Amino acid sequence: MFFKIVSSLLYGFLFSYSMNRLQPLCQPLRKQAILFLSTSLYLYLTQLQGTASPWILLVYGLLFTAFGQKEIVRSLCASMAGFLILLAVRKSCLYFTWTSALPDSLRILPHLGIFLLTVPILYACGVKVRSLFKEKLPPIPSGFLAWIFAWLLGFSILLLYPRLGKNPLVLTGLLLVSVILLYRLLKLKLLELRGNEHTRSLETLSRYTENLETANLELRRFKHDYANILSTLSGYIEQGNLPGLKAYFQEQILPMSSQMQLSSFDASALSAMQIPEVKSLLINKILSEKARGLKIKVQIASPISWMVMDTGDFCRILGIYLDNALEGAAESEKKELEISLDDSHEGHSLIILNSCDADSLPLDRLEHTDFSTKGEGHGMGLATVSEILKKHPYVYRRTLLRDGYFIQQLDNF
Amino acid sequence: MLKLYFCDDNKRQLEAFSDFGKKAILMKTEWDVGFAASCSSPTELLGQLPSASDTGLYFLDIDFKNDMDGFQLAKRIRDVDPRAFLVFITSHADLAPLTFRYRLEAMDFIYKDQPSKIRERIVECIEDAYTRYEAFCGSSEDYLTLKRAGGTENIRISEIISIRTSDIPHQVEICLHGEITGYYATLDSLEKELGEDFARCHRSCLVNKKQVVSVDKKKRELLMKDGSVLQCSYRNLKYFT
Repeated sequence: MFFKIVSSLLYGFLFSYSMNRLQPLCQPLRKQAILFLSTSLYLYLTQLQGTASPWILLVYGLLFTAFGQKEIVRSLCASMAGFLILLAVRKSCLYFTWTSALPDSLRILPHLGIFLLTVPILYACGVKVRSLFKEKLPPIPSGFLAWIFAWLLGFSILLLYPRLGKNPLVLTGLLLVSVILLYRLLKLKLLELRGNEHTRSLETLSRYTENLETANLELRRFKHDYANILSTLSGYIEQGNLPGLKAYFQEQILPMSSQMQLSSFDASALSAMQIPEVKSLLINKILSEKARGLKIKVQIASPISWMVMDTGDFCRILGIYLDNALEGAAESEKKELEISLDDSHEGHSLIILNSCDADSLPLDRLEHTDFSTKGEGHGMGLATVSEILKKHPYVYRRTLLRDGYFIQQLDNF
Repeated sequence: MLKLYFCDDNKRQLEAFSDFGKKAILMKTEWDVGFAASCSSPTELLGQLPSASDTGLYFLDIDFKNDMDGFQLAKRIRDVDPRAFLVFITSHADLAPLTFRYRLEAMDFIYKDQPSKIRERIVECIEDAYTRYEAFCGSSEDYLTLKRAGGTENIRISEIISIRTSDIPHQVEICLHGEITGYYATLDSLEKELGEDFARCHRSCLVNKKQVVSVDKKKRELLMKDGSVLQCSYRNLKYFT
């Protein structure tokens, strides 16, 4: 009698807890309490006799928990998952104990054990689930969730009726469901990766636009100043005031011209690069942290929309050259970096130039994997470039160290 | 003879620069230098290039309104006059001036936006070019002509330090002082062409004996004039001692 009451309450609590704990949204306490009490009562009265009664309870629990929630299928899945965990723990525990061998007074023990094991497991899983759903996420497609539900249901049935496990049809059915689920998960993951790519290119684009907008602003200011200067000049000229004109020119206009050199990088210089991957790479490198404080100039003489060389290979090489040049320029006094891309009838050519304070560098050893000006653990960059160029024998390379500049040149790609 | 050329589509500037140039060489009666032409467009200039025995010193603007730019013009000039001295006249606002220089081995460039200095700079460039021109004429320079990137280039043999096979198939890399360049050639054919002054230090490297400073027989190393150190195989040491 005592045993019946306690075990009903125990499992009543476990059942209600398992239905509610994995829900992404915390369920109202009243709802949980009602489920707990009603389940306990049901268990006490029926003792789960008969083939239908466990199923009635399950359906009741699922629907009761789902009732009032916005995302029904999601809630069903969460409840089902909780139930599956409860089932799994119970079946595993009972496998290891012999209830029949215990005296009546201690019969409650294994069930207490199950209780003590299940509650923390459900709690921990609940924490995980809730943390996943903490941020606002787009709703998961119901079709996908339906497959998850089917999968959970399948395993639950298998646990409830272990003899079915010997039936190959059942196993095949479960396998099928698992495979479909895996496929859906894979698809989701791939979409996510593609989404990330998209986000990255959007970020690049927005940096580029920002830069263009700043340049545009500067231009407007300049036009405004220009109008003022013109009118001042014409004033002096009309008056025939040559000394005044000379003075104004020396004091106001010449200094302006030297100031204009120092203006920040002009993103419109990249407009002639029409290959998106290359353009994106250039933007990212030039507007990166490493590029702050460097005087960078870019010239792309004529529009480039194709190249003989594989674009991916070219981008890797360009990336390595730019990284080297950015570091070289940063370490130098003058901090200059220039990038020039040209389109001649023989193919394209690339020059990357950075100011360099080193008197001499062992140019012939630069590409060896054990050589680096940066110390241990570096030195792979130029060696990688050589590897890539092995596949492109029509491309010609030149490296120069002259007049305080280090230059990498690539022709005919 | 070293011939002076000026090319700029701004008439006033063209006149002014040509004037500076003419005045600069007036005094140098003992020099083999002369004024050739001042042109207001690249096409005009290309029609007046010097004959084979003369070398030109070209002062070129970069931006021509309706024609090729200074850079393309320079390429065409180089095709006809490979030893031409090129000076670009540019403004600081121009994009990437430094790369121009290395692309075509421009001798120098002059900034338009420092007008008081332009005369001085033109004179300097003329003097610089003439010194180099004289050095050419004195020696019977030998050149190696090799194919590269759809065209050919001339390399002064005396400046070659070493030649080695490149990682890139069908190419060799020629090392000069402060420069390594890839060309389409084989080490064997070059060895034949270059003759006695060059010897192999090992299977994939040909060395200019005149550029060797010292030989370390124990370590089997050759110290070259540009500071580089080349490993030599046992068999080939004899060529350097």
